[in-house]
Amino acid sequence: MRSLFANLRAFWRGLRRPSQVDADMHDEMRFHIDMEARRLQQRGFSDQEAARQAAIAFGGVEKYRGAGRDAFGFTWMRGMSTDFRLGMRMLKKYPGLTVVALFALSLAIGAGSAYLEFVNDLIRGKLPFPEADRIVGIQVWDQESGDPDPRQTANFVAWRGSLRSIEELAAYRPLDRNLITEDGRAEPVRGVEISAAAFHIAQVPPLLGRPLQPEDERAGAAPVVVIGYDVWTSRLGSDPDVIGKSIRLGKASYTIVGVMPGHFGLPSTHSLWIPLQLNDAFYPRRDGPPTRMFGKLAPGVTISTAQAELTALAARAAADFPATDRHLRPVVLPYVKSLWSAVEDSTMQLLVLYSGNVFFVGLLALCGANIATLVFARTATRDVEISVRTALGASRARIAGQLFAEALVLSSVAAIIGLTIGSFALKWVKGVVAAGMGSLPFWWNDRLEPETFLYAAALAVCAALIVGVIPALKATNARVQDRLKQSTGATSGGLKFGGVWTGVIVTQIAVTVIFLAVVGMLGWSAYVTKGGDRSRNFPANQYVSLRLRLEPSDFDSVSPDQFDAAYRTRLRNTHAEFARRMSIEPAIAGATYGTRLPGMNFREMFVEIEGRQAVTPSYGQFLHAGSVGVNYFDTFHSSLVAGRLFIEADLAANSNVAIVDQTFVTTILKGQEAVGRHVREMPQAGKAPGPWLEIVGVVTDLTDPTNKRPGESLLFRPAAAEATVPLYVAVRARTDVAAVMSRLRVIAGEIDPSARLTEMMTLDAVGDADLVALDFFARLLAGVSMVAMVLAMAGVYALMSFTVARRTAEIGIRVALGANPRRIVTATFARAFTQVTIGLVLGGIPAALIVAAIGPEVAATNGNEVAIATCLASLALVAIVTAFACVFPARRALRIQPIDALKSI
Amino acid sequence: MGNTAELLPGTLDLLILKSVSLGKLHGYAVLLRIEQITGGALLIQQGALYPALYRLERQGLIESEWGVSDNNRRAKYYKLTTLGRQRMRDEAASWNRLAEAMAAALRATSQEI
Repeated sequence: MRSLFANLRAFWRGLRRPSQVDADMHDEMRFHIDMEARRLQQRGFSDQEAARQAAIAFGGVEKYRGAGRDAFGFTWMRGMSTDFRLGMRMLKKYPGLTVVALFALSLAIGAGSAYLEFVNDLIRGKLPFPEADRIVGIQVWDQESGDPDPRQTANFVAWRGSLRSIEELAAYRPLDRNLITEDGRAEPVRGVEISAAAFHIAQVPPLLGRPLQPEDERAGAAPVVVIGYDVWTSRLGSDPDVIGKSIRLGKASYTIVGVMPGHFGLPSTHSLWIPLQLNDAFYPRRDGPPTRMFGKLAPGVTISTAQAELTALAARAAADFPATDRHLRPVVLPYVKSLWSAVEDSTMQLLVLYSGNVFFVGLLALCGANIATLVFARTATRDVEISVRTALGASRARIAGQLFAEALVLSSVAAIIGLTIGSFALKWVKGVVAAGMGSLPFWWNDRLEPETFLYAAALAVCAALIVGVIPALKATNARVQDRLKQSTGATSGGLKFGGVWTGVIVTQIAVTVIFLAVVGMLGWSAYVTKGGDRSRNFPANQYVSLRLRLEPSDFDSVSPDQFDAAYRTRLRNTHAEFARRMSIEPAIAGATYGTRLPGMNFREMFVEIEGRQAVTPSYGQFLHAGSVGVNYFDTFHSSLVAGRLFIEADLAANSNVAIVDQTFVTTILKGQEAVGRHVREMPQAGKAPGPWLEIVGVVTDLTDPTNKRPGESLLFRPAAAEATVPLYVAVRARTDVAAVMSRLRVIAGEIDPSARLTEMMTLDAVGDADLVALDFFARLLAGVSMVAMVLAMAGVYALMSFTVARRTAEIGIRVALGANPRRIVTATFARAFTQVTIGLVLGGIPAALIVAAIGPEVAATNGNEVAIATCLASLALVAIVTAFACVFPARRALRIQPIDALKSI
Repeated sequence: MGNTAELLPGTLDLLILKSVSLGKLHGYAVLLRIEQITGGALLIQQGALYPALYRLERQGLIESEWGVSDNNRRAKYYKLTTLGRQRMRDEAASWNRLAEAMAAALRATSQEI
């Protein structure tokens, strides 16, 4: 063991300061010779003779220094360090290759690492708590339905304090309440009712005051609340004396007892906690509000032990309460994983998520293979160097090692760039997720985990193996001796750009064409969906969109039907008062409501149209539908084309009337009269068909009608506010939208503290979240196709340059013999032209097929035109780019003079 | 052949270990110590001492530190490690066995056979 340490120490010393070690050896040997010379002087030798004799007695200093280096084991390391230095020099010497390679490799390594980091954060996120690995989530799955059953109050009460493997058990329920501060602002807050045990499990000290305590859970305890850092800063002005003050949550008042620090957000994105008051009373099984559980394993207990204990308890419960518990199975998982697993056995899910990495490794291999082509072309220019070194006794491994080291330098730099870009990309993705979810899980951070660095390093080594070793093995094959002869003789032979590389270039071009075509179509699709040609026919940025809900907690103890009726009554009153207050507000020009607002995704519906059964498919005509208020069309500047608009009387539940937009008339009815026709919803999965609805009016489209498909038609039904689920309200501002937004919150707070205004934003921002995935995918593909294009260009450039370099003599002689320069270029580049053409054809055919398949999905009326245009544009773009790559080598070829030919042979 | 002998392969390491076992020495002093303890009977190529020292150091049998010599020059001093002392004992024992065996073999007379 100690000998290993000594070895490592020596290795480390050599690695850090090889030149210092060398200098030390020199000093030590010099000292020896001087001492010997002194001894000889004392024996009567002259100074000069003593020095000479001492040097002879010692032997060659250089020789023993070499032996010393060997003894230290530095030799191979010095070789490596030379290789790495050479690698750095190569980066500078071939800037074009460096830029292309860094671009491609950093994208592949960065994207792969960022993806791994993202998946790890998602599934294996680490809670920033002490002993976080002991914190587990418990879900109870209903094996009959295949879904988790969240109604676990009875189990929680039975299990807490009685489990041996889990020392602390906490439960929580979401809290849908408005937080109302002293200034009257009522805003929804992400809060939970939670067991005090949760704070004990987390062991995070509060910033101010105290966390929740078991006494707070007792029935009759004073209502207290612990607030999160962002509620404290954004809603309470970071008041240092906040402890002891009151806030209102809906109609109830709570005393603030603590403020938690910023990195605490249990269970995931929450920043307000009130005690979950559950006494030991009887709770019916599989009943009550959704309640989730988590806990802390007892010291030394594994998850499987806890799982075994809960499984045993569940088996007993199944025997005792077969009616409710027969199919229930508790599952214990690490906390973060338990939040994300959507299926009982999530192994497959994990496998799918992690196998996303295969895509990035494939991308890396593709990029690597391309750069290997370039490196091979560069290696070809060092043909003589390699041949001579081989002749002088350098082993194949040694030369391959050198090229590997050069490639490793390249890929390491790429990994550093990739990780930097990747961490920025991750911040962007997390920002998008945060915008979608309202807040990020509190354990997500911007740091990259050590695993990600290791993964990036592994990818860099893989890339170096592909980029460095394959060209090295091709360049140092058995024919190297022949090449040595050729390089010293008068022939121009040497390395050939063989079949493998030709294949790589052809594949590259084909892949680029396919990628570009697909990206083009996706881009078009995103543009169309996003409203590129679906711009709304009204100033959407002047409208506030919000969703109105009431807190349900007041009705906990009544039956579902009673609850529903009471809720509707309250919603009707609240909305009516809200509408009245808005109508007298000077800054508000108008307001309406509907299940969806223009720009949102309306509900999909299959309808049967009276008199058109013969021409519609048996499953019905696909379109979108929504329920709206009477003044919906006026508010959105949609004007009446035929028939009439909705009137108050239509709001009655049994009025079977509908209004359609012009797209319905033009695409589905092909311009026939719509008013007076009847439509009804097709029967769905065993349900009866909807009632026949009479079309009473036709209005202009809410969004740009150009190129709309039949499925984009809209059918509107009238509905009272309380029957509109979900209830979205649109408010038109006269001037300042932001001022209207905060005014609306005040109005809502005044009318009913339990009225929750959520999803509040300007109407032009609505719907964007739906496009995030498509947008992200299109961006990723665009990035990949950029890389593919640059690589295709670089590959063709390398092939051309290589050809010119190899055939300099031939071209020179042809020029000397009076050949036409154009013919020379054609002759020289014939093979490259062929390869590009093959690539274009091989890529063009699948690209055309793919594009033809997705074309009609993207644009209804002109799908084929768009498809053909996209395909041709991709082909043309690749052709132009590759032609551009030929320009410089071609110019070089044209400039070759006969004298160059003489020099080159 | 006078009163000196060529060094047998492998013996230099043992001689170095023995020299530095008697106290901290710099390279040149190791040479002098070997000359001294062998009575100048063994011929050593002086430069060959250093690769041997580095090898022993790498193996953790000796360790080194820079110091100042008697004549006020910077010199590298070597001393035996515990591991080195152990190895020296083993090697010495094995050497002694070999030497005795050789001596016994060479002493053998025709009567003993």
